[in-house]
Amino acid sequence: MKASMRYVRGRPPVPDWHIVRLINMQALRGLIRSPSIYITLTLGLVGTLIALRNSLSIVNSNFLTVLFEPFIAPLLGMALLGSLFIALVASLSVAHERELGLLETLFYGPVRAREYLLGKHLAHLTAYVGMLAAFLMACLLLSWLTHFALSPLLLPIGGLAVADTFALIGLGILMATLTRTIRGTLFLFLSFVLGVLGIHAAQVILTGIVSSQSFTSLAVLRDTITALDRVVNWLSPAAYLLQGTDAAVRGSWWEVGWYVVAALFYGSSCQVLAVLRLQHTGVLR
Amino acid sequence: MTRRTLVLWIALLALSPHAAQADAPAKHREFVWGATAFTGQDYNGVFSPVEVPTIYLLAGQTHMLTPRQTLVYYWPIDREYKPDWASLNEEVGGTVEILDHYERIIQRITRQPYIIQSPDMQPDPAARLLVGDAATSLYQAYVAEREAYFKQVAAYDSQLQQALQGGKATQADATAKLGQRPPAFTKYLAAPNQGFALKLAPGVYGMRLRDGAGQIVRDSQRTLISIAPRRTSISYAVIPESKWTVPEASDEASQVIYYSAHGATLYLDPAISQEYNQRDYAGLQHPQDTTTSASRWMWVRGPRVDAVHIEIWAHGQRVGQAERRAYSVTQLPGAALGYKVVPYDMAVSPQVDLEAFEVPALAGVSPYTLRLVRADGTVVPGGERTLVRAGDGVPAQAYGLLVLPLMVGLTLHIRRRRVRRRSLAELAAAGI
Repeated sequence: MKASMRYVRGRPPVPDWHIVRLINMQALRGLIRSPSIYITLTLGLVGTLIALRNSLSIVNSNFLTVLFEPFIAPLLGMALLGSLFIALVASLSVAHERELGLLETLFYGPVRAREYLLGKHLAHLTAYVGMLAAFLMACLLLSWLTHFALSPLLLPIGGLAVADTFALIGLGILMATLTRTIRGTLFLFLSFVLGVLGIHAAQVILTGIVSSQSFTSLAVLRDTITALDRVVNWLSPAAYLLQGTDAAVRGSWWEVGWYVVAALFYGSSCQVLAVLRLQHTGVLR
Repeated sequence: MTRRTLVLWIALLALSPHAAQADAPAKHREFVWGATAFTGQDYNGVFSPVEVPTIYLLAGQTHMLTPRQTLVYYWPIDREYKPDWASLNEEVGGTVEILDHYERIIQRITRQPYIIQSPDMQPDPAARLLVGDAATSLYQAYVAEREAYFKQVAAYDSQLQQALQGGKATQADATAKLGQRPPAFTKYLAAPNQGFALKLAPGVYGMRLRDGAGQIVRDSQRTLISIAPRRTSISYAVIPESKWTVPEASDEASQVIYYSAHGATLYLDPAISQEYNQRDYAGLQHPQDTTTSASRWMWVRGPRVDAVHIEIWAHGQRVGQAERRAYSVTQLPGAALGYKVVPYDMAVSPQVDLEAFEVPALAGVSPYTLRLVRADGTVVPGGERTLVRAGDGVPAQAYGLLVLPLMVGLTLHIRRRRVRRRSLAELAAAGI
């Protein structure tokens, strides 16, 4: 009998929040104590410092420049880097514990798939929120040091980033349940990320090339990739963040709300699908 | 075949009359739509053959459509279809039908006379469109004025001839008696054309032409995309004194103007600007343009904002005011080059180089804000800007931030390893 199914019968449909909290705390403790989260934060800060230094150099060489919210691009960079890292760690963590047989052991106890996956999901999201909060505090300090204005717009964009990460973690966990090995999970996750990035980069590059008037014969290819990119935008939670940021900048708050709701729905759907997948296939190695 | 024979054949082929002929494009008779479309600042003529089935128009503005039969050819150098109006330019009459998304006819438009007229009747960009009786009346008034002028000139010339006849008076005496010849008539107005006036709300529509017999004219169906701006704002051209030829643009209030510690005076030129989809806006001007992208947006700088002044605010108090003035720019002598902007003085400089608001970099005050205020004291929405003096560089303390998360991570990691080692040692001691 499948391990995950054995203890499902006779249990209420709502998750046991005590178990969720225990798994959440344990996963969070592991994340906080691992150096990778701090390395990611440092990488985000390095990128921010490079961007600010570049902006300052432009101001000082031109005597003036017009900048649009100098901290938004670094925040987006950090948010995307952080969310990709956290989602990858979440998926690998589930795949690793499954491969080691820990899930099998856990599920013979009072733990069910949804409590386990929800605990993992929330732990990684909490770690991300902490990382983003630390980054925003660093931005506050950098704003004071460089005199670059820190816009209140960073807060809704930060909120969007959290919703986006909720979706991406959900996707990562779903991928971990679709494969049985760490290698398979890593391959699936990286293929998805690189595929999305590749299509988006191709769209940006082709648009730039065709706009420069030199290669108008590539216009059909550009339009095809643009159409593909539009489809990918629905599949990629990172696109929700970028489009939601654009909406926030324009002050279109209903659009921002829509992207938050879409990201939360995306993450929840992935979570439910992951639970169903585990219940269907079991957790045996 | 010997090598010599081969070379001879190649030379003969190269010199043959066929090879010397240039490729003349194949032209074919086609129904096309011409449109005189308002682009926000001026009227632009666009052409839509069957191969270019979409016409872009600005929503809420009146445009003129002119259906024609002409010869169309593809010009590979420009990669676009072109009309040969010189060979064939035949008007096509009928009724224009505009259809909504559900293919229902929402407008039926008949042909009317129209004129593109500028305020001083000179063909310049600030033109306006007059349709129907307004166009006809204007042209009649223009013709009457022109004829009156010619009569006046003819009468003057006749009187002058009479005065000069017989050598009784010199040219100077005659001119002194008759006065100066009427000044040249410089007004110009083209005769009204015939076209279909069209004004649409934003959206996508269908369009076709129905002839007098009630039949849809072949190849007359087109898609009309009536575009509207996504946002409207006040755009500032930000002109630093030292680089006045390279202005920067601050298109919306969230774009902060940063100046350096050595920053000099700024010159600001506000204008109403609108944000359009790049492809839609390019379609207004050039429907066959394939270089633009539908995923990009662009600000289009419109008419200058007049009858306003700029108020400078710092720490909640008004600290200054700037008015629009004319300036001349002089190039600084010496190897360093650079420019100096000085108030325009007709006696010193022949021309106005710059009309803008002068905003000095306030010493010791940062940030400060600018507000665009009308003569009645109301603030122009979207006209606010923040000016901030940026730091000289990234201070060394900022780099300390990079070490902080690494230190925390390393400490926790080392602690974790120690705890694990201690636990394993305890388990080993207990014999487990």
